[in-house]
Amino acid sequence: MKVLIVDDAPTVRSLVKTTLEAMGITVLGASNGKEALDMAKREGFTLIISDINMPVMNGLEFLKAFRSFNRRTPFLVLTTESDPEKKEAAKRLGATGWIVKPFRPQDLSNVVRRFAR
Amino acid sequence: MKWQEKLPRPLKEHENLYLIRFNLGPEVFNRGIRIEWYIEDLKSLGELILEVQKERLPADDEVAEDCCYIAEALLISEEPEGTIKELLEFILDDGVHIETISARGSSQEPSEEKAEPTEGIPEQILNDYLVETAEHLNSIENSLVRLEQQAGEPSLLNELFRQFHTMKGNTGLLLSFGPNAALEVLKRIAHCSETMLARARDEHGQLSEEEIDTLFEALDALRECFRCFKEGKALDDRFEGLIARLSASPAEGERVDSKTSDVSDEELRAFKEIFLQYGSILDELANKQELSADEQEFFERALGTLRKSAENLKQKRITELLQTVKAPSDLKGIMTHISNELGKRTSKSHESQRKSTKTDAIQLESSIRVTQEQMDRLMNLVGELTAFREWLKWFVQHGDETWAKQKQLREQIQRYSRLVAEVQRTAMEMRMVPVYMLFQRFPKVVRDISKALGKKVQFEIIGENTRIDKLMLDRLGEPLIHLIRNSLDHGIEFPQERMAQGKPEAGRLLLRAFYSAEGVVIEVEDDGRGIDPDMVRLKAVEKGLRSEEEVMKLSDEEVISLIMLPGFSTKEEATELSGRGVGMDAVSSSVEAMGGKVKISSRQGEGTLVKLILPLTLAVRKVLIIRSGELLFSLPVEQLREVVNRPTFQWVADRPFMVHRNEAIPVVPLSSIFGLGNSDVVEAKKVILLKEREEGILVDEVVGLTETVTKPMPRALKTVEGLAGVSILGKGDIAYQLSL
Repeated sequence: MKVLIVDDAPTVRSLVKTTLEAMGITVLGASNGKEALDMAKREGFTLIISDINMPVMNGLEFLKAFRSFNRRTPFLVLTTESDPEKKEAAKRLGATGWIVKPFRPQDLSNVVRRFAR
Repeated sequence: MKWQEKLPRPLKEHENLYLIRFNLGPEVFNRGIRIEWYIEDLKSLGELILEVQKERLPADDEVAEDCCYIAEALLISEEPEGTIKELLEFILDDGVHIETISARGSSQEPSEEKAEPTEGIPEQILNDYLVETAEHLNSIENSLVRLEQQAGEPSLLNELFRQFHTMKGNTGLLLSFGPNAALEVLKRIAHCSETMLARARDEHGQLSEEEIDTLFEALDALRECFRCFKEGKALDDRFEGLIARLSASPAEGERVDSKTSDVSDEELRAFKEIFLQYGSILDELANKQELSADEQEFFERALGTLRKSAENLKQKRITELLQTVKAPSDLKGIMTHISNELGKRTSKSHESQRKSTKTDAIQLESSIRVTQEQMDRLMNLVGELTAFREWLKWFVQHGDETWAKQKQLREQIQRYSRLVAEVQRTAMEMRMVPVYMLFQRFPKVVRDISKALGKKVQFEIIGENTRIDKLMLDRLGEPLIHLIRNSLDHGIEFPQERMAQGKPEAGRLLLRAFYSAEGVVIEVEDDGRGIDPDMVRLKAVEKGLRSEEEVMKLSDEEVISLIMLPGFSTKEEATELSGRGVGMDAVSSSVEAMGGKVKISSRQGEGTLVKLILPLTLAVRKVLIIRSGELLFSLPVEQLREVVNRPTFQWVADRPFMVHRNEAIPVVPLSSIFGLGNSDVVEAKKVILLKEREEGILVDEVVGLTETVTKPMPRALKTVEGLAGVSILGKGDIAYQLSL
């Protein structure tokens, strides 16, 4: 099982990494959409978790590009607001679901357990 | 879903009942959503009863991954609605709908709200109304379901009419205590439904399929109004459209109807053709973010053609659906709706077309076809892998490696074993198909047979999405038809006879499939005359199958299973007999050949239940490996009763007997069963006792237990009786699988 975490904040990446590695999941990190896209083109992931606001290429652009060649891999977006319109927009671009920041490690592992099978 | 009937048991205290409707389009699957995950998650919250949407099921054994076959699910759970909603959060607005049918776990909430809108109504009257209306809603649902099966049944129409009428009257009474918006709408819907029923009853004596659908809609609406009233919630004008349809003038309604039925099958088929061709291209465009000028032009032309032909063909629903399309992206959701709609139309006009419609619906979504041969090959390869694992194990045990190296090897083998097990499991899952694929034939079979016999039968299938090994399903056709025929022919009585006994005129035949701890269970149940145990006793003695003394010792229940003995009854005699027995031995032997068993229970005058208990899969079997002389044999453990280790023998009149637990059991050497010459009885070291055989089998050695995949017998040996196939063992040895 391999999860890709995309966030420009190293703290978020390391939080996700520690939480998921404790569940026996391999975690790879990327700090922006472009980096992530290159990785996702090279190798397959069980699940992708991506922040939305990032430099170079944001999460929604990454999602859109990713869905153009992969419609199967679950893709969760990290969002700071629970604004339904944002969620709807993410869904339209092909997001499987979302995790609202800030989240507890426990929330994260619950969601990941459901979508990385 | 007629949820009252699907409910497997009454709710316990603290348990809630939710009805979850699924209507997921491809766009959901394209977001990486897997419906089976949600099913698993829901299962973890309680008991889940699934209802498959027949129109969406593929015709054969190809099951598309990104298609939701489940139409509705009933969930019994102690969790509050919030938890369920949370679980379904990501798909809740995309075609998943939750309805709380009964919330006992959180019963304080509704009762708190209840007091508010009902001021001025005497408590007793209010309580009566709440109880009665809830009952009425349920009985309306029941009547509608029955009406769907027997559209022209006048008593049902009258009953339904009365139910709507009473509900209207009761509601009117309540309204006399003060105005209430929800009740007002409820009364109007009940009134319009009543009017529509009266019209249908007086003009045609029956309801059209559309009218029944509309009434179902009305029922949902009534429920919603009732809920809003109880919870003191406001109700918007969302049901105005429905009321308008319910009260549409009869002339107009009829005109539309007759025109629809004027449309020939040919024309419909042609439209389907057009739809499929344009549809698949439109579907592709729907996924594009931007269209080129050419594509835009094509899109508009294709849409125009579709609209026009839908209009020409009076496909009202489809025309309406197409009307909502403005841009390609609008198409995403409605393509499946349309193909479903088409499926509904054509299946109505042409039975044989149902199959192709189903396939068409699938074509719009992506799926992979796997042939039976490919599947078999995969299973064979899995068998080889399993065999190779056994060889590796053997090799490590018997090789001369150092201990350290052995340990290393063993670890690797363990990893390999895990992988093999995983591959095996996956391959096995791929072989599992819903029993619907077989069951879908039966309604017609039942209708034909009961018509020919002049009997009235209400046939019902439950659990049609239970999955079972494809191979097994293929072999179940014959036995099930046999059981159904038996029930119809010998079980269910003629209408006059039934009425004389105070039973409903129509007999009930129920075919049910479900999982249990023992495996997959398929039941055939009727409410016919049942089996007379005394007749069975008589017959068994007459046929010399059991002595009089023996049958008297057996309980009624035990006696009934005697009808499965070979030679119990013949065709001519069966009808005069208590009812059953024709070919029951054939049924039981074919079920047993799959490693399953048959249980029969019956109450005289009340009915008969035949239960087929089947293993989850045929593919991998646990077998006991035994040696006789030079040859190895494998014996499926289900057939085994006991292995006797140090048998003592006695000879009675030249025949060897084994003395075991104060009983003398005749024994026969395995080798002589297959004419391989007599091995010396005294030298044999073990005796194997089988469940289905009185004689003990003498063998030289019991090698051990193992799991194997059975391969078919080589052609040259196919005629040898008592052998079912070949198992390949660790060292590459071959064991013949016994079927004694």
